[in-house]
Amino acid sequence: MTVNLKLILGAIIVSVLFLVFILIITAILRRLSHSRKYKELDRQRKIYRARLLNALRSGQTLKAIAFFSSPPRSIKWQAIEDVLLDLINEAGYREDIKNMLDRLGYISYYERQLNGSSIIKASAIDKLGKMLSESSIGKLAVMLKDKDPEVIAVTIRALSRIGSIKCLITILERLPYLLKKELVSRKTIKTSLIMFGIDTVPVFLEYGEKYKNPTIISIILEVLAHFHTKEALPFAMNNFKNINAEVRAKALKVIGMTAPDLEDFDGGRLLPMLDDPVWFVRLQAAKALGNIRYTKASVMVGGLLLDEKWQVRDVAAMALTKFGNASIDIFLRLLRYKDIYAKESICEGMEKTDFVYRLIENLDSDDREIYEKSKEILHIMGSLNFITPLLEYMKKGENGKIRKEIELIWEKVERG
Amino acid sequence: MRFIFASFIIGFNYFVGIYYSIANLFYTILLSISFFIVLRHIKRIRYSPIKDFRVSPEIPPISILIAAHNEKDIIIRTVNSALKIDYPFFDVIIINDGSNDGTLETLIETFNLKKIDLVYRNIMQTAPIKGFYYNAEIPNLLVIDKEKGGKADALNCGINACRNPYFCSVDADSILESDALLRLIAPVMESSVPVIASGGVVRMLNGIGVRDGMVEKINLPKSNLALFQIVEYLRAFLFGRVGWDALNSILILSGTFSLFNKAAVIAVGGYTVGHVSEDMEIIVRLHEYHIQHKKPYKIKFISDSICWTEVPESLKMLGRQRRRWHMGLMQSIFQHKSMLFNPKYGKLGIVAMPYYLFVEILGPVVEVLGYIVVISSYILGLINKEFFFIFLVLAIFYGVFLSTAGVFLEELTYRRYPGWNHLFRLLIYGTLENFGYRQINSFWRFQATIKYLIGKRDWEYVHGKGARLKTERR
Repeated sequence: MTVNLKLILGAIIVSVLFLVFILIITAILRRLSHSRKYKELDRQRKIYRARLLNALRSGQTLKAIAFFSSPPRSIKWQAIEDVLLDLINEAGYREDIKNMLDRLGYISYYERQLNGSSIIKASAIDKLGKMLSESSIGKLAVMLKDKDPEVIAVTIRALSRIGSIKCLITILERLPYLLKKELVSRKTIKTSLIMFGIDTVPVFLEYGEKYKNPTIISIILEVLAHFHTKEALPFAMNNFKNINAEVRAKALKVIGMTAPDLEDFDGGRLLPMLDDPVWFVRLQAAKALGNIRYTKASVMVGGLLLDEKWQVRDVAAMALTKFGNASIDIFLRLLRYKDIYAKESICEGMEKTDFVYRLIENLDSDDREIYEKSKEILHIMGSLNFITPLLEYMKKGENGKIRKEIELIWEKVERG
Repeated sequence: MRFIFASFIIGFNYFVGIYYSIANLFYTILLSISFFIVLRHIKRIRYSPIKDFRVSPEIPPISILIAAHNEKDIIIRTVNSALKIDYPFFDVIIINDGSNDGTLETLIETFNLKKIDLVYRNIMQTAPIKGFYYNAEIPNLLVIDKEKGGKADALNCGINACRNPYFCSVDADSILESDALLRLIAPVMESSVPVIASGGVVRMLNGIGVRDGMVEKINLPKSNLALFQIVEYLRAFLFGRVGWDALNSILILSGTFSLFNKAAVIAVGGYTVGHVSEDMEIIVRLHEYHIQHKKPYKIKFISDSICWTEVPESLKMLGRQRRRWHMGLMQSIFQHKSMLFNPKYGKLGIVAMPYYLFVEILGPVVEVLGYIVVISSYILGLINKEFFFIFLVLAIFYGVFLSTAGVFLEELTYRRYPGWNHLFRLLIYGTLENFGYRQINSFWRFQATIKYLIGKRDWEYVHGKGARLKTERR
């Protein structure tokens, strides 16, 4: 028993000591080798950066290929790759660098790596994307059929970085399958699609019309909303009454962003959407009508100040402040209403958008009606504890008449 | 009688031996899992989409919630650090939790804040609000002044006030790395399963050079106690949490720096006021709620998202902190005892919860009693030399290996301590940690167990944690 115990003890001690020793030695050796490697890499990056810039400026990159070529994975190879990837984003050198990357064998090297494990594959895809390798689009398209969601996500990003129409079409063609199989998150898709830029809007519109899948249509609408272009408006107008609520909301978002630029846009067509059963559709409708300053909608938007969802109430209050004095009546009517939440949303909206300062200025207005209504609104705000702008004006305001009016409002508020 | 006593003592010795073998086996499994996961993560960073997120309109806006109680000396540094974070859409909400040292006045003066009126919904009941402070020129900064209610209450108040779908809780004595939020949000962006919380790594701010709210120069602290804690944190974060994360069974995300989905937190009623360790409690409740309601979810730990925080440099404060942590752990596990060994909760109920009960909670008790009983048994001749040494090897020697492994993982991956002297000092302190520091820690946790059992469950405040003033001067 004692002998066995001694043996076990000895074995444990030796093993643990050995492991500790191995860890320490590995850490030290690794640090030494990395220190040397990165020092050399920094040195070579500096040298080749200067040489590459010279070659690029003199337009003699092709003649210098032999000088820059090196075996894959050598320090020189890595240094030149780092410099080229750093310079590729400078528009003037882009085509020359893409050409060099191809001739120096980087593209073919990383294309070969597409047969490796998931991590090697993903890393190679990322590199091909950064190298803006249009010749690799076919091979990258195959990667969209991979089973690993990470590989697919990296491929989508790589294609969007290359950024050609062919890349966009490759992604859009594969989109139904990817979404059906839930192989990639919608956020990843949208983030990547936006990178294609405003010039690709016609392609998005073409595929928007082609697909009937509401998820894809809403993704396309979201991307179009980001581009903020009038070209997207007809497509959005075709979809704002779609059966799918998300599509309706996204279409209204596009309309709200693009229609304000059009003088003849008829906001009346959007009015029915303020009664939509889905809250985020109502929200987007109110936002759109506020953006296009469709004052005829003020009564209906005002109705949303009593909406069951606070998000809708907030947006409605913000939208109304954009209608200027035209919304004073609406605010007043609702501020007389009993719903405290609605009243608070209105007051906060008026403070945040500085509409409250318009009301304060109205205290010196010659228009008696505007004056009376503004005064009443400010009084209600005061009674709801939204008093800071009033107090601030009393302290710092320049107009003596307004200050006096505020003092009267304040006294009335204090009397309750 | 004497025979029975001797048999009991010998039996206990065997129990200690077996207990340590099993506990160390657990640690080794966690270490092995973490080793592969961290290495894989490091490779994945090369093609990480973090840079794309920076310009993505799809990235969800985040509110950074900072609960502050008497943090006048450091609050400006923390706010400056938070405001400089590299993230497209965020706001910073400071909740002044009844400070009486001038924290609020310092904030008002520094950021030229004005009292404003805001709609505030008391979704989760908190101590009364005294005011909101805002500067239109810094629209993403809001200060809430409220009566004192504790950290959980302050965070609940921040959740009530924030309008963003995600919030990140950050301690008032902490500094975020500029890309910390981008890294923390990555799983939310990439995962097709909803990520309801994600936490990052917490590292020591003691000894670090700070300028304008950002980490300028990394150095090791001079204090031995802080150095021991560095090794301890490396071990806990780089192989403890990474391992549990791989099993989607993480039970602790540091309250110093964690991101949450606001709706998920509201669904479980927010932070528990009066709980000794509100950060663990919220995670356990999030797990429980989502499993009970059969909602798919993930809680992630991100090993490269970093927040620097101050740690105590005095034994008194460290003891308070550790007793509080341990008591919080016990409180959470015992409050949710129905999850223990419950197959309905999957790996969480079968592996993670029992691990925390038998290894983390019971560990200090076995360790302290083990030192007393095994050493006395050896002196009294009840056990032989070999058994005594096996105990020492299992209890202490293996700890040296685990500490070295923690430092090694750091070296292999993120290498935030770049100097040669950093490496050697960490290795030395990783060894020394097992001779004294670890035993004191076990004793504090043992104390916490006793206090918990006798019902003395008060919150022990830790103040003047580290070298804040020294850092500022530096």
